[in-house]
Amino acid sequence: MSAFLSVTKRELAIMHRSRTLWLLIALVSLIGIGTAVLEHRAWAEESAQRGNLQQQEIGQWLGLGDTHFHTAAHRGLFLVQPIPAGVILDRGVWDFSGSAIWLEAHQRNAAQLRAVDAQAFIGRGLPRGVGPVLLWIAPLLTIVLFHGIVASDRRSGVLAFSVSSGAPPGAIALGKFAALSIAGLVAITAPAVLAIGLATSGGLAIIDGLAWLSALAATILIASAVIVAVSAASKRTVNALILLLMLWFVAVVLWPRVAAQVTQIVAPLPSSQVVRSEAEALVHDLDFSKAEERIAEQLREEGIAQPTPAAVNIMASETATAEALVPLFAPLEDGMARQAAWMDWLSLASPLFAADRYLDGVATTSDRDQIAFEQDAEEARLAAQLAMGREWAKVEGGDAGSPEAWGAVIDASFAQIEERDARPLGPMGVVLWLIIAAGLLALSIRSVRAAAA
Amino acid sequence: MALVNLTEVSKLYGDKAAVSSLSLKFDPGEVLCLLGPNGAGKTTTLKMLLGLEKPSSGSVSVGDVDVPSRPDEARRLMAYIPEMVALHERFSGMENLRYFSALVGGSDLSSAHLEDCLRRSGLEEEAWGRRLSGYSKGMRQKVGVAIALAKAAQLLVLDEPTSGLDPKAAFEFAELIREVGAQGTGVIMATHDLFRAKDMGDRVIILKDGKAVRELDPKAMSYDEVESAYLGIFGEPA
Repeated sequence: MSAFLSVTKRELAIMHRSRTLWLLIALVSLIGIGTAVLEHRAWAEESAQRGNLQQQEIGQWLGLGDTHFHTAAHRGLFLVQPIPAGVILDRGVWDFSGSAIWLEAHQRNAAQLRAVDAQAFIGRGLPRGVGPVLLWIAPLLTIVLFHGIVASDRRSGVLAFSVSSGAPPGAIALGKFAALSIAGLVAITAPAVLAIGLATSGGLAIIDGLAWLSALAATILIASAVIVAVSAASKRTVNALILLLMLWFVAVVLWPRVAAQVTQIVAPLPSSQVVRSEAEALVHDLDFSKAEERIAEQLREEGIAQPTPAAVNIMASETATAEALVPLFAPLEDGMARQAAWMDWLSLASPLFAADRYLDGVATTSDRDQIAFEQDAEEARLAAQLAMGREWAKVEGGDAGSPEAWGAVIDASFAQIEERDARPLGPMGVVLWLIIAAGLLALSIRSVRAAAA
Repeated sequence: MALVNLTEVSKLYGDKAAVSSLSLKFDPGEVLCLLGPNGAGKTTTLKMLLGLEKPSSGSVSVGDVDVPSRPDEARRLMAYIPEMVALHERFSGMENLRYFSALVGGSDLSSAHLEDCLRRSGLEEEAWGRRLSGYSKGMRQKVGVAIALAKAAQLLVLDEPTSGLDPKAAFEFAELIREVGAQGTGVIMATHDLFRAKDMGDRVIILKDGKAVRELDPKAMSYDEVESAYLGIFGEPA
């Protein structure tokens, strides 16, 4: 134990004297804190915009002066999903997910027809959010500054001298790993704590913030283990640098894109143009008559003896349209869930990618959450229309409702969307890579021992 | 019990024998020199003794520790001074001594004890706090000896220690090793410097092609006799 502590202290002292420790902390903190501040500002602005938009929508609708249910239903209303504070930590697939539900009679609004491509996690650009930025930047800077943590000692002969002097190779390898991990964890602390503080002040649950921080910290440990292992196995520091940069590039940049392409090949989805035209064709000449009979009968059973014909028409058209589109959208949703599953499993090949996908879901939205939102939004929209229709069916020419009543519709609609699909892999990718990291450290110990020979 | 015991030790690399059926033993306080040209098997023998290489056959023990099966334990009994003592350049002689002592369990050694080790090694006090990047080879050797003293090593393993040293530094180093040996520490030294071997050793074993071909008693021989014995094996220079 004392040898391990001595090596750890010595490595931190070397990092301190060479200023590399402070450079890492300064750069990661600067970039991370800057990102947190910018993301918080963006979230605050977007929150305000969404709130204003929602108020404008409601105000515009109510200000029409015509509060007849039928007309109101045809004019439609966007219910704008509030943006969660977790986007500060990780935007996930938020930019590609549904962010509103549209209430409009007969579901003939093309905006209702989802664009499959835009929703897919495939083709994501640069990461946004403090989490992805730290996942990219911290390991990259650590590689640049500390790729020689073992290799340089091997080259100079210090490693051989240490081992042949009786120092346990395990203490040397683990001590260097500990020092590197401490440096990385210290570097991410300030930006991570600030980001969590900002996000929790905006409504993120503290437990989610802590889960996010734990996964981020675990990824730093994994990266440190990989750096030590590669450095220990490399005869020259430049070899270690090249190999580590290549691994980073594959893990962070290349593999997610390859995985997305593989996913699209093994679990393909049709393009949005195809989906739209098929959906439009389905709803174009729908016959609502049978649905009208069914709805009228149902309303009579509920005690509405003379249901308003127009209300029956609205409710029947909603129900019939939804039933007609189920055979089209259900396989799409299954396909998207299959794609999400493929991406989950493929992401396990890269610790940074696996961590990113887990962090997506903890902070805001994963692709599974996005699929759930779309499904729930459909159901919420349908339920809201049917609820409106029921009120209207009771009284012809009835009031469209007060803002409070509409507020209740909005809350009820989004309440149905809160529940998220389970993420079957959860943090499994991070846990798996922690186990692999332990194996890499064992290999590092062998490399250190062999370096002395 | 002998401090070091090598019995019929061989080391093969492919079908080439770097060391072949070598047997030697020596006691605490004894200075044994392995003499021979490059490729004679000196360094390979030392590596097997340090547990850095496993012998292809035979046994190697230091004290009652079997080296191949318990190399980490064996190394704690030994101190190794290679041709170039590799230490941390950004740290001083004292800091390096403190670090390398702590690596082998000496973290509770007092500053006074470490200073005494540096003093006994012959390193000038003004150099103790200086960064290693300003040290000469001889000064680094002295820090290596100080590390050996600090860990109270029972056996000192030296590989070409005087190579590259000026005559004064080499002489000082030889004096230091004799003192260490006189205090009961065993010393095994690999060298191709036959004059230094005669000067420092209690026994000299000449290695050729991995085999021990002759043992000399340098105390009972003159420099010329040692040289003649060596050249008798390896031939006169052309």
